[in-house]
Amino acid sequence: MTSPRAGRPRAALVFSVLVVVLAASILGGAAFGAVQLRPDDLVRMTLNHLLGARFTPTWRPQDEAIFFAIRLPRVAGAAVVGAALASAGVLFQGLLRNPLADPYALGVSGGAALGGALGFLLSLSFSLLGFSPVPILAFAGALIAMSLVYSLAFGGGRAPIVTLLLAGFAVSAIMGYAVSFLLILNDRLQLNLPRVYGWLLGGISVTQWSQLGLAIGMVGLAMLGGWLLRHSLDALSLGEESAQHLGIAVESDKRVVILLGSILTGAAVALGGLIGFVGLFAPHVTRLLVGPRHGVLLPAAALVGAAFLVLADLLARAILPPTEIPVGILTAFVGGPFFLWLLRRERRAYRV
Amino acid sequence: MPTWFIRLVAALVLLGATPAHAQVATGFPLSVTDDSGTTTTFASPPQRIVSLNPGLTEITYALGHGDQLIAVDSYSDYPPEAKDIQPRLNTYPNPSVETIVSLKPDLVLSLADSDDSIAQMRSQGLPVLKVFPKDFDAAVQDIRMLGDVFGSPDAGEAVTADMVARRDAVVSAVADAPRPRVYEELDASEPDKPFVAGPNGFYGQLVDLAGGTNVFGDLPGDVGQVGAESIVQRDPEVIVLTDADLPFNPQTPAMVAARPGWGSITAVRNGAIYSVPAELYSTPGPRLVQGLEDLARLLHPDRFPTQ
Repeated sequence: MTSPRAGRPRAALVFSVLVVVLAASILGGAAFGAVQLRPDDLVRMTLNHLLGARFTPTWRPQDEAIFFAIRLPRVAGAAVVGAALASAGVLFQGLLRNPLADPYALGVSGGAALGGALGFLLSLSFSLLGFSPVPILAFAGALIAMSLVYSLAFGGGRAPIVTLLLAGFAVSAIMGYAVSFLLILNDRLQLNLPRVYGWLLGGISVTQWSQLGLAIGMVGLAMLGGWLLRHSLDALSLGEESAQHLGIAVESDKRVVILLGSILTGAAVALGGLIGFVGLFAPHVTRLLVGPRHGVLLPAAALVGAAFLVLADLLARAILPPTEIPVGILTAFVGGPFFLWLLRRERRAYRV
Repeated sequence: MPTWFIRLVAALVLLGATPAHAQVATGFPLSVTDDSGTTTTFASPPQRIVSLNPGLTEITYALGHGDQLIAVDSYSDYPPEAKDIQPRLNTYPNPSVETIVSLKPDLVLSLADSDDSIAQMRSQGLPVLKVFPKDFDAAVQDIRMLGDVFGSPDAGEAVTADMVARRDAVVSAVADAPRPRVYEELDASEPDKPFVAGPNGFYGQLVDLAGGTNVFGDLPGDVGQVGAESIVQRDPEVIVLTDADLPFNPQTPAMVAARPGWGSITAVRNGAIYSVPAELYSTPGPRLVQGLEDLARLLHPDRFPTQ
């Protein structure tokens, strides 16, 4: 996304490596899946598609459909969701000065789950720019929960961090258990349970390129907005009072950061359900690599999150074909041990 | 609803109900072993029955004992008169044992309720039969067993003989026909990774009996969630939707045909996408055979002259 300032060879090196890693994981995600396609066929197919080259198809017509209409949007979706969750994680960890903060810290998981469950259970049949009721209502639920949390925490001209965290926890719990209640009221032959449960565990679901266009626009703008606030975020991580002394408009910047974080998380939820761990893990790993300054941390974490989720989604699609595994299981299984190993290896006192 | 079935039910009500009510049934005391392996002994046919599953309600009616149901689960809606039975019990996540005990039933029919709930009811002295057939033959056996328990073995015999005869007729009609590749979709709330019928369970078994080859016959269980890539690659010749008239996220043939990348599937190109009512394929009851006949007619129209 954005290059680091000149004169920081370590950051420049890290960025080049991260870009290569992301490119490699995207290639891997495109090359493998539940269905095995020959790599040379894929190259010829793509050249035919892009450059109008005329290789005679040595592949079946449905192989092109699998590659272009199903697999590539999915890989791109995983990259966008990973970048969005990692950026939201950076924003919330910086704002809340809490290493356990993740994109869902301010009530989003409960709100999105409730919206998504309503999408599953209501008799709705509409779509908006390629999105079906479940992602649309999940997105709305995420934003509603976050605004509810902010307005509950707000009083006397400010929204204290601790109050925000506690309100987020309570709102998320209430809305999350409302999902269980809805399921109890509506479950015929236990059919809804695996559907909603699977969605709650997260899974990239992109069926139209138009969905990606919208998501990329929203995520890109929100990431840019976060990067413009990098100095505020650096100052806020020293504490609100210090930030105030440094001349930062603390309350209004906080509001903007929360808004940007909600947009990032909402877009991620709409494309992928509730994927855990990426938004917690990617910012921490990146901080170990490039340090805590947000100007570098934000874009680097986005690259890490994108590469990581593309790989996790590849495993979700390819590990047990034809069965698909919810990607949230893999983000925890793959990312968790790696994160613990990194923590042990660095042995640093941890600081957000 | 087909008129033959109403007539069958009516005939069986007359056949079966009369002896059960009028005279001391023969064959009692009767011991039966249910699908949990538990043996229960009945001194006489039960008169106050609680059914905790729509399929079991349906079987009870088909055997002519619907008027002995004193409570059903909240989803029992077939035959239509089952909708009028009160009280209607919530069974998810667990039935209310308190409520059931207070109704003083002399038989509780349970399909998939938890072992704990069943044990609790049994410890209160309630006879509970766990009737959870996993395939067509098991359903036939269970219906016959219930006929015996209800004191109407003739009704059990009549209902199951009809099921078996019609099943055999379908199987022999399609025996030497080419078996089309069939994809059966159960739910596609996320259309790029639908839940589909695997090899076991009623869904998958009816595809086999109807003379089709299930493209997901290699899944490990009854149901699986698969990626769209695999569906396109396995190129089904017939697509059967059981989620077209679900109350939530219904999928119509037109929506399925419009899914990205699905245009290359043979069934989509030939317009061979059909929707069927899920209840005929998932409810363990006498109507399974109707689902089988309908499915076989879709897969092999040439083998079943239109009436």
